Amino acid sequence: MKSDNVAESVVSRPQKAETDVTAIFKRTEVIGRGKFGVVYKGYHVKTKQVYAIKVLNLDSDADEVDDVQREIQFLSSMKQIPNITHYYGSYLKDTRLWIIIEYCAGGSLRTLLRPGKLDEKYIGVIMRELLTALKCIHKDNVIHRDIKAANVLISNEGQVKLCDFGVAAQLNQTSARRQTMAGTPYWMAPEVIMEGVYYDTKVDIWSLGITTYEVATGNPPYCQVEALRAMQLITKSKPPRLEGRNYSTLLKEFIALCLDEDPKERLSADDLLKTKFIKAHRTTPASILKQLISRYLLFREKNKSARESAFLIEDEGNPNVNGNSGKETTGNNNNSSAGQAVEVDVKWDFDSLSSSDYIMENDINPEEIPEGSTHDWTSTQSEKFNFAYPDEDQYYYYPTNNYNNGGKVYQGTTIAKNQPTIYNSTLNAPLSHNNTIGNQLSKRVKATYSNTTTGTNSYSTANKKTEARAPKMLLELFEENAVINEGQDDSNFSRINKNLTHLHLGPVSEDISSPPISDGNLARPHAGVMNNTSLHSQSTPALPLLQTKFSISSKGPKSSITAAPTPIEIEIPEELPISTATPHSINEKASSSQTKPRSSTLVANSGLHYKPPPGISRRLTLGNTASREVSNSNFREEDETYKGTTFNNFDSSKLNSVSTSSIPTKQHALKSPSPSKIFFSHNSSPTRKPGGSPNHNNSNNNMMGLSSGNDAIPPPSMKPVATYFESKDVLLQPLNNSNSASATTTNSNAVSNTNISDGNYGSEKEVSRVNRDFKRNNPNLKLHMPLPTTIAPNKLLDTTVISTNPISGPAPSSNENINQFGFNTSTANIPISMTPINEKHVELGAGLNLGNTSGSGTKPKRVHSISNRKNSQSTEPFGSTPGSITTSNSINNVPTTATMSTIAANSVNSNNGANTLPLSNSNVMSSVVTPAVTNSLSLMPAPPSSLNMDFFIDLDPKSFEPHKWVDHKPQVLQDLNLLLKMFEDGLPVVKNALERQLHSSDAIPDRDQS
Amino acid sequence: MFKKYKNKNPELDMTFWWKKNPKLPVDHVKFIIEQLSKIDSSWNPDSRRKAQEECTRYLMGTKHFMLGDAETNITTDALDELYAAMYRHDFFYELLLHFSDLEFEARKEVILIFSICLRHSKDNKHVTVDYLVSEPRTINQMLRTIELALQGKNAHDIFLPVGNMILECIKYEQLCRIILKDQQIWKFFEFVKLGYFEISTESLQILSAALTTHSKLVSKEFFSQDSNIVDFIQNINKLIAHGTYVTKRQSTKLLGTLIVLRSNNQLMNQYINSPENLKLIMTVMTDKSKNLQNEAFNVFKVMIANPRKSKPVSDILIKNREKLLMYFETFGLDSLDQTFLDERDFIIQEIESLPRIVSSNADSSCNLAGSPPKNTTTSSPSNNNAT
Repeated sequence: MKSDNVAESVVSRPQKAETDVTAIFKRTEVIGRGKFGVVYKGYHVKTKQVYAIKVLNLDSDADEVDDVQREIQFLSSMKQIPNITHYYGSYLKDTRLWIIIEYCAGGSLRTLLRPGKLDEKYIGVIMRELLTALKCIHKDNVIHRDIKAANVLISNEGQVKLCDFGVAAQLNQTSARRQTMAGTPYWMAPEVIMEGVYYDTKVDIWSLGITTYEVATGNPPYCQVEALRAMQLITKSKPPRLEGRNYSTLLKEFIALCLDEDPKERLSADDLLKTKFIKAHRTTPASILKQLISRYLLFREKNKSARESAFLIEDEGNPNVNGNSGKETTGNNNNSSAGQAVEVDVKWDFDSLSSSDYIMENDINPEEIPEGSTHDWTSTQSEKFNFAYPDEDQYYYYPTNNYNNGGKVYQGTTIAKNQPTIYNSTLNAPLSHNNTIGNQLSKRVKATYSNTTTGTNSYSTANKKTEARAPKMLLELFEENAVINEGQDDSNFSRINKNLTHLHLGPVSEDISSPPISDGNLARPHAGVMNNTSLHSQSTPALPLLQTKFSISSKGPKSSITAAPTPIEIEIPEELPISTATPHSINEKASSSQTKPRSSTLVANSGLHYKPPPGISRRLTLGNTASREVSNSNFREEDETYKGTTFNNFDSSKLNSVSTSSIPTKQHALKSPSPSKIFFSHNSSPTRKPGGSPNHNNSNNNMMGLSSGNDAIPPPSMKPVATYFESKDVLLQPLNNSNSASATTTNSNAVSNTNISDGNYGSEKEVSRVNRDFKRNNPNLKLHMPLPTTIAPNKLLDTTVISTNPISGPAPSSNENINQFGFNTSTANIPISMTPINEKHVELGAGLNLGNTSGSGTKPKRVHSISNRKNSQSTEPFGSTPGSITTSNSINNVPTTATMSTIAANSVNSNNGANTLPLSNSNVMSSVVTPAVTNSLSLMPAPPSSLNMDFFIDLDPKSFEPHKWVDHKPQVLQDLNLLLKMFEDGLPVVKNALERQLHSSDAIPDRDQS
Repeated sequence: MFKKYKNKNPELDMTFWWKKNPKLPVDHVKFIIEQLSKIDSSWNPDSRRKAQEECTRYLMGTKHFMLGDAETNITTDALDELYAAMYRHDFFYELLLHFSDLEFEARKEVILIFSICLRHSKDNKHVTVDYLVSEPRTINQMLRTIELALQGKNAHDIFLPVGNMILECIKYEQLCRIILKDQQIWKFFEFVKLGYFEISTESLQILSAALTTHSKLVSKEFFSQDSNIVDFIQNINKLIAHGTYVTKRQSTKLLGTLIVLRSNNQLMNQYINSPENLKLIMTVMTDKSKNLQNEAFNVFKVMIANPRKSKPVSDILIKNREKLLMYFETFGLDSLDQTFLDERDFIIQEIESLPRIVSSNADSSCNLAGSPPKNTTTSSPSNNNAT
């Protein structure tokens, strides 16, 4: 109407946009296959000009269209920049977008690397060309963010073309820096990986340096380790340097200039063009790169076997797609491909070229073809080039929310399948997942345990409210009388959510006894707000490190808030009786209710007498809370067992399924901070039903609101060299477990332990994502978490402090009873079993290391983590030590095979017979009420007499006379060594025992595992 | 002053390396404008190209001044003068007039300079924004330039950068007001339909940015006029009905976001009470794309939730009661978004509470609504649902 003339004028233009793209372009073959699209070779019907055609299916989650749009804008704004794949236009056909780009017959540099490393003259030319492109890109304030050999294409004429602007970013003048993590791990600059650090175009220079390294050596640095570890290494290590005599100093210098840790010191593209290395190759024509192409072609022909392994794509793709427009399958995995708008990571193949043709066509003298072309690379060698490190695609990080790939890799198919469950998660997901569980649970709790009823009530009511929310929001639209808030630009959604949040704040803060539940509630209201952003299905990367990273470096405006080091802010409810709570101090809080002896902890529990415990290293964030959760419910559990309530059959099958489903992926095991969890989820499945009854409580709670510490805490020290650590863990974990069992004769602890681990495990994927999403979407909200960490341990520790101090403090060595071991084991073993698994890990690992000096690379960090603990507890002489040292205590006991087996038997017994549980519990009680030594002593041999209380005095210089501090050190070390040796000796025993147990219980878990 | 002679002899300038020949920033503005008029007047392609190159060069120089990365540090006073000169000479207006004459790179510089200017603030005021408000013709010209671009050869090369400028403007409420008041905004609905992917998406992006960024402005000033509401509904319906997949999806999404805003309840009331709109949305709900279905659902749910449905609307709903129930049996089952599920349940409940048609004769409204439901086929599933 108004603008008819416009429409006409455009429509009447010669090339009608409505024309079917399939009539303009014909596709001939698949040349690449990416995560969410296929790249074809094709030609323009009229001109016969050959193009690469990228076909993306836009029928995916919302952000994808935007991302594609952004990428296209980059491409079209860079039409005039040299050495970039030229963009010719895009056409929409149904839901598929055809993006017409320049065809580069030579394929990617990565492909051309297959026959072997490149000579420096080629490197010089390639880098020169890339730098000219980068110079222009950076001048436009665009960061490519994903420079690597795979994204460098070589045209038929040997021209170098940078491609894939899928994760590129435009810097604007006001914020000329970025914060989000994007790119491919091995090529990422440290400042990209580091949290909360801004970066600019210099990150491309780093990546270019890595790419140079890659083409010179065949792989990027750290290619032998998996991506997460590599990322750690990148941030922690000195920048890599090219070593070796076969490289010229110029090249080494060039790489060193690119790989400067300090972005400011790093040269710009402009300056790099002036380096000697580039100048040395200034005159070399780009056409010599044609030799690389022929080298590759020859290599490919000579090496069929290598080819087969290297060309999986070829087998997958159907070369005769001509005209099959509707039928191509894009990636198959819609789940993981959701929202990935990054250009397909092209794996070029050019079957259409044969080497002889190419050599003749391009007038190449075969003599000139460099070494390597005739070298007969074995298939393994070529594999080494191609697969030595995990495929980079898998570790793509997108500036937006898509981290799916990482998760997929590590978690395997089962979890990937679980994705939809977790889909859209935020905190909402786990809750909805466990809705039924939670409900049942809460009902039962209500029935049996009056103290928690408030919590459960609030839960159920809140549940109703959230259910009513959506309609409410809808109906509110129609409330005519309602005053429309002038200043409110927010959608009703967020408003309602805010209300809801307020509603629930009360219950949460008042009712600490069931924080997880209310947490879940809290979580829920926000889900609505998050919907938009969290539309992507995100497989939770089981990657602890990354998650915090991501939560911090989430995109856009929110990132400013997320820059805080802790993934989630934790707020202590103000009503807490003792603690003056401040959001951040929790983690470090070392105080606890000191007046409570063990027996009173139960009272404390019901009286909501909570304080953050001392034994927690400051790095703990969610992990803390999780573990606290656990302990929390542990108390409850104890209470309940007294009352004779049975939780026994509670939904164990569900939990089982959760845990077992994730077992199969071995990589996950390697990844997750405490692989032993897997062990436990196996192990405990039978035990759970009878003995572990109330512990489901734990795991449930865990699942509901809390992050399992394992995922949430990125423990750098927990990045083990895979196999070594794994096996060790399996050993360690049981040890720990049996620790508690032996010390107190309660297996309930062990069971709870396993359950906890189960819960953690199951919840790991959900909860962690929850945190991430939650954080991202509600940057302003503070999550009301239960107070961090194990309450029990703290109480216990405190108890020990209190009780031992009076006695042992003045005359530390005088009293055998108050000897570390007896006392601490009995009391502190509970904390141990309750500490988040990875915490335990740390301790145990540290202990082992002390004794072992086992040479695992993780040693220093672990030790560090222990020291962390100590730091956090500086006020209390003993507070911390029991946590870390009692471990070794009981380790001490381990060597005696007899004890071990009895322990094992014990645990088995209790597992099988629920009736042992009350008994064991009472044991705990008795051990608590009466200073307990007898209990533990009856079961295990006494610890070495030299290990007296006073040696702990060493650990806290403040508490006692300073001179003692010096005196005891060597002795303590000696003792520790002794202990650790014994511990080490005991390991095989424990392993045996536990394996036996595992085998014996195999009959039952079989179905779980399957 | 002492360099003034150089302005009069631009040819002389070209013999020097740019950076060795710094000018006062203010002079750049004048010079660029001179060159622009030269482009216009010169028929000789050579001198025309020369003028274009000059423009590019001076634009880059200007940018360097503004960014402060020029070799000679310029004082803030000089910078202020530069801005003042831009305003005085209607710098951007001139540039927009000649936008298609500029070189590709020069256009990028213009965008950059423009966005720097927009963000420039002095004494806590966005000086450029104030200037643009006082001189709305710059923005009006912007909206026309983007239209003219479509008639040229390199439509995309002009459309996208100017579109980006418009998007920059929309961020500022006062400028967004100017844009919304300009009738030219309606043209963007036409641009969407042109079928060029980049132009379609860019136009829709502009539209949704203009209509959603400052919702108060939109509800108070844009949708306060009935004619605007009518036009908007008409235009957006066209897009939803006839657009490509991406167009449909994005326009439905835009509609969905606008309609659930309480402040827009005039728009909402008008939209949800029309049976034609309901039909359209219900049609989109049957699109094969799940994502599109979801977007349509976000509109549909409002129509269902309306407690005072208009007669024709409820007639359609009643007639399709069983079909709708059947539809929702499978709709969104794979979703785990709790809000969505809650809404879905609520919608199903609402549909179930609709009166059931006993026989086609008994309900006279059947004839009014005009869509023929087959009661015989749908009766059985309804029983299933009811129980």
